[in-house]
Amino acid sequence: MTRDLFAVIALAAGLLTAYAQHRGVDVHVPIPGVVINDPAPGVVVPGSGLRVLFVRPGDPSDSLPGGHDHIPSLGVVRDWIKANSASFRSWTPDTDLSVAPADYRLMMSLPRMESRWLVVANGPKVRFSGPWPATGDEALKVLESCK
Amino acid sequence: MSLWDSTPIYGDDSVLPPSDYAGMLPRDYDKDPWGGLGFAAPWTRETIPRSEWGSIAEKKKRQRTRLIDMLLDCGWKPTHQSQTNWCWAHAVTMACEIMDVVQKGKWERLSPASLAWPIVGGNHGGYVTEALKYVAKHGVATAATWDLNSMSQRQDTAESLASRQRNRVDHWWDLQPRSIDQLVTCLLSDDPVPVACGFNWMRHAIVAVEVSFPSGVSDFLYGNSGLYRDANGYTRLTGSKAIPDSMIAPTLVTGE
Repeated sequence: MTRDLFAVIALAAGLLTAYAQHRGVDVHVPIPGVVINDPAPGVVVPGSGLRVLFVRPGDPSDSLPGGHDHIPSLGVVRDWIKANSASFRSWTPDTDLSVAPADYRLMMSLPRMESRWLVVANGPKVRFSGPWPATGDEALKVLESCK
Repeated sequence: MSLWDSTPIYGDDSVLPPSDYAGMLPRDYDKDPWGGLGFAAPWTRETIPRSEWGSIAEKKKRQRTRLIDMLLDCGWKPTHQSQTNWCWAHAVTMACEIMDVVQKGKWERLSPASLAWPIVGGNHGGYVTEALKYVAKHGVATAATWDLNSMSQRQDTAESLASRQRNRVDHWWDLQPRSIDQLVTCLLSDDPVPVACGFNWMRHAIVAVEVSFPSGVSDFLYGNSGLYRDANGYTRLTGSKAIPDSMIAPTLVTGE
């Protein structure tokens, strides 16, 4: 009975996601829970491996909301990146990309709805594109779901 | 032993001005006026209130979000200026390397000689604003293409010119001279940035990477290419001699 219920929920979530993507709506799965996200269907990211792009505001007066961590600077996030042989960039929207690697340039070109944005690519696929998680723990969940 | 536990050399009043010449000249404010350097914006952001400094520093230490944590994670070490008078160029190349650490978690050694030679034409003194202006306009070569402290000759090659294109500063703050509040704000921000600092009392330029507040007193850790550096290449300064006479902070380097 419980398994059937989960199957129905998963099917409904899948249909909803597919519909939203079909309509071009950006899909964000709430952080507590599984993040299986294909926010840029059809986009092929050059290069390989896990790549993490943190976009941060260029305007220093755009301060972090209370209770939120500054995700790119966190030691636990750096540890995860190192442990998983991932690479990262932490850029503002006005960073000069003229000599930037093609994969990060493409990730930087994806639409962003907020000034703090996280894009994770694994191999040729974008696995996550959404606002910064609020805390380090939530960031690790997102990163883990992109492996 | 961690870096900040190494024996400190405190720049309090017991430290006498050095007899050696490290190479820094006081900034020429007629030539390079504060607030008049175009994209090098004079400070406009709010400074962090002093009442919050201690708690923010503690939180950053707990979360390992300080510059020094990032530097330790990727094995960055200060350069040594050897027998040159190029501390002012070293302070700026170290700041640029540190910004690479912030932006991509790795770094490549840059060449202070590739700044000093074109600016002063040999082993002569200068000041940090000159060096950073040059990096913004022409870039800085990597040490792989232009020896770190090469005093023999200029090393303009196709490779060093290409590496300059990859290593430029796009934005920087021109901090108000002797403003401890602005210096601390740079180091305690969510996005911390290094600050290349010139000290007239020791005629030396070094780069600020960390501030802590033992007993409520500001205690700065500097990456140092020469005078007063410890075995790890760092110097701690506190008290009246810890206040820089000129300060510039690269805030964005070329994305690569």
